[in-house]
Amino acid sequence: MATINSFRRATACLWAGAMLAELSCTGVVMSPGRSGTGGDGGPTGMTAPLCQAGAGPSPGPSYVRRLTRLEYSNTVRDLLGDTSGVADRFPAEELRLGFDNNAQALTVSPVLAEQYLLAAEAIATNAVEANWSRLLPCDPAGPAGADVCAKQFIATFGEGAYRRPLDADDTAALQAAFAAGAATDFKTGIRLVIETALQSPRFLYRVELGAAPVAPSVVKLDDWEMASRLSYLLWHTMPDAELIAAARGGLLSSPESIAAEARRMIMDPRAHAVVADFNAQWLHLGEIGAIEKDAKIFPKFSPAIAGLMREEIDRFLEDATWDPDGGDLATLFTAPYTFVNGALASYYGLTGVTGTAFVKTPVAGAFRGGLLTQGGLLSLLGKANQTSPVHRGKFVREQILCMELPPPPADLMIKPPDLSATLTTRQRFEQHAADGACSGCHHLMDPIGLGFEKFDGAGLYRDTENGQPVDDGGQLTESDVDGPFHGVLELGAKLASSGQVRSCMATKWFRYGYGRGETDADGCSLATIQARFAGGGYKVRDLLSALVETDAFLYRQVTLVGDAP
Amino acid sequence: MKPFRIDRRALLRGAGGIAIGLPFLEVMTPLERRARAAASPPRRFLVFFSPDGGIHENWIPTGTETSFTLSRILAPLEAHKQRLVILDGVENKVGGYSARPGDDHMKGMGTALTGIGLLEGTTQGGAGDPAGLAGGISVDQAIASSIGTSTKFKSLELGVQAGSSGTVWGYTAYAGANQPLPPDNNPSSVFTRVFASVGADAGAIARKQAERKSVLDAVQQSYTKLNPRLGAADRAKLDEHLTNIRDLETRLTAVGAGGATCSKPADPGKLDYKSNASFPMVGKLQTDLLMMALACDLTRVGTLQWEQSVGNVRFTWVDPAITRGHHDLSHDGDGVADTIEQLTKINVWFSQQLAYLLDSLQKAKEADGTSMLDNTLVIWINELARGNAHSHDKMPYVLAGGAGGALRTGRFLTYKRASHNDLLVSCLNLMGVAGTTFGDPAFCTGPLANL
Repeated sequence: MATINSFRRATACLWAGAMLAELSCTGVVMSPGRSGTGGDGGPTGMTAPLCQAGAGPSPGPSYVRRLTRLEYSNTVRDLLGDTSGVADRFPAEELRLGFDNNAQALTVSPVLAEQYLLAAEAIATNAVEANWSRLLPCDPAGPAGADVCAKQFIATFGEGAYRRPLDADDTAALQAAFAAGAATDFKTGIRLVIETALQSPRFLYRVELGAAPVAPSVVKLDDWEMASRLSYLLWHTMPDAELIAAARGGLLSSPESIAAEARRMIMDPRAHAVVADFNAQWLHLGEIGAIEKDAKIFPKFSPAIAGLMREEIDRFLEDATWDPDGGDLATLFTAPYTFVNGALASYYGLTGVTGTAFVKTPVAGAFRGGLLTQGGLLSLLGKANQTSPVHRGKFVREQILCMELPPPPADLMIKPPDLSATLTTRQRFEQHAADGACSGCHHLMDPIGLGFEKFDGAGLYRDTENGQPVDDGGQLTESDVDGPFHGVLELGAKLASSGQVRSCMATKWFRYGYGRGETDADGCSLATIQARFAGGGYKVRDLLSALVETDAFLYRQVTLVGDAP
Repeated sequence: MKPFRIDRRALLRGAGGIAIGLPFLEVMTPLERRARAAASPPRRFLVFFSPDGGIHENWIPTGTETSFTLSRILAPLEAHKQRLVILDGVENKVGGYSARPGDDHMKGMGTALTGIGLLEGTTQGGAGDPAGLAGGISVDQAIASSIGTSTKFKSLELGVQAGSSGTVWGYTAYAGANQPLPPDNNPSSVFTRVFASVGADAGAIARKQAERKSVLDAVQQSYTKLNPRLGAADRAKLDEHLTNIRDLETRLTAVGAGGATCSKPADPGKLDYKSNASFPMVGKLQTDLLMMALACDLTRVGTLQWEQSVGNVRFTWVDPAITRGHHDLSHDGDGVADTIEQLTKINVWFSQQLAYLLDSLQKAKEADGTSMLDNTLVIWINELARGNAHSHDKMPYVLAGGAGGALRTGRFLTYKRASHNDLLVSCLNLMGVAGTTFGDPAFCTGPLANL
């Protein structure tokens, strides 16, 4: 496997001139990036050996993780019943490695600090106004007195908000807030406790200090930290009552008990939402609803169709992931069905479906099947007025095969071939392939993308273009499933059998699940995930189970300077 | 697309027309009002950003330094011609020649106000090595550290579909390396943040401030106790958070001052600020909110970021023939006359939006009778010189406003490849901030000559 250095050199060649582009683009590599454990949390070239018997755990780096907007919203919902959506106002997360939950990127800007203040005030006000009767664990007018009741509230609410019992420092800070507010009245005191807690590091971040060392520089997590790791990985929210009880009982310290909790949690709809969020980020699904097309070229397409396409692919992915008899990568790439309602069926020319409800519908007779023939994806990877073999090919290379393409040379005029009333897209792109300055890199994208040509830029099947028959011959190169193919169905079948695709999925889930890039220290963790994935026949839900079984999940590395042991 | 039927003037009483004088009696004691009125008006600094490069031949004025004719793109600024300084031949050299990573859009964007190359990172652009965010503080923030310390907000970053990509394409303002200040694209959210608490009675405001101080004291206590127990990288992150909380607390005691033209705008309410068709309306709302925040002296530094770098808004309201996105268009070659015409029209439209901002500043009167435009420096920036070449030479910079008398205006200046870092130094100096270099010193020779 090529190293980062060769990738860097290859990139530098591009700057030297287009003539070198062809040379540089033969050096496509998997997972280029920086090595080491510091820096920006980026990936590294994986050179570490697989798990070695007898070697101690190798967890890789572990950072505090700030809650994302999604996690914040879910957490205040579960903590206080707040569904006001106040976190929608927070600035968007910085994307890193394609995901919005990278620990290193989740910092707090001045604007976000202020938004946290405003959100805490709004949520706390709601809680004491709308929810007062259910908020307190005691009666402040009771014989024990208001101060005792406040202490009880701070202990119980604080444990929920901080996802662990409070220490003396936590308690003192919340007591101070209560005292300041209680000078007005009891309710104000409680409100200020909530406002304080919601801006404190133990709420906004997943702070892990670890328990006893198990090896030099490696600690196990304590049970409360493990409960939070499980709940945010598998549910994007705070631990539920069962997890809290398990943490309190010291039942989250063995890999077996952790795996058992994970099995329970993966059955829950909240785990489905996590997979849906991964899919949305991985496949850029958020952009489907906003697709607009040139009405002169694609008169049947409309914003309403775009919205239906989003629902279609969401339903397809949900089914393809969780179907008890499927859920494997082969299903994802080749499933001979989709989900349509009457309007979308009519758009695609599928018969037998009417009404507004979405119905699982066979599509094998309509030349469709699998993720890559989803109308939303086909439309997203097209221009407003034509298909885009480049974007379709690039998507397969980058998102499905995890290959990074060298960028186009600087200052090169980048423009697709002009539209034509007589030529097919393939014919127009022949010029692209003949020009050495383009073909050097485009031979990695266009031959894959041209295999999609029987689907137009708005996701509709076609046999002809401008009166000429469409040739959907494609070619995969520099992968483990090289060779010619005809059409997207054959491409899907190839990808479904590719070890590279399987490894890509595991790597992307590692990055998403752990909020960081893989490092040289993560060889064993990745091997564990891949082995588990293979053992179950490449089911996505097994990736979720596997993510709680690795060194990276079960342990924490404390070698960073200044880390407490 | 659902049309917008909101009457902007009804929404923002006095903001567009700016003639209404309802001072913030509620938030100021008589003593404070007298103190403010006696002082000379503050200097202010505004950044106006539009993306994807200009069309130089339709932008450059003709004539001499003091006797010139505005080009087609700048013609909408004719009424303010004597308040402009048009700079031709200034080059973003650090964006063009720095060895730091990133593609030309990314470099142009991240260096636009910082003058320093990008950090390494994982965002892959259309060319170059993957990059992170900008490598240093932006000039507006350096200015704000000097002139923005006594206002409720050190600065306000407002966007008009300014992106939520979380990448270097999306930000112009930086508190420091890797510390972007994301623009707020939602007028309703801006209103809540800037104006919602304004207008309550003085006792209620004082109580609110006292409460916030208690809460933030307790919050700071939690960070102070926890942070030393963390690893170095984590501690640095939470220390930065703590700094931002401290900053927030010191601002809570600041109140809006209120010149003669300060009035509380009405809440714009929920609106679909992300749809393509809403772009002009949201732009006006954001301009008005920013104007009123300045008029009320809630801030003295602001950014109005239209789109983001590689922004792809479809300017259908400019010309129905425009069906492609802005960035998409900007890649067409110079031989595609229709596209050059459309890009010119888009830049004319941005010029009109700048004219609206300048109109508002001109109409707003200070306590001493001068206009806010007299005391403000506005800089119109772009991340590229020309989109299809991804170039950084001949950047389309325009300065506007008197900068409190510091800027000699009504001029068209021609430079031979002057570095834009020098322009950033001049911005500092014009705002009364000392300094002879800004950003990467390798690309900076001192303030721009003859400004």
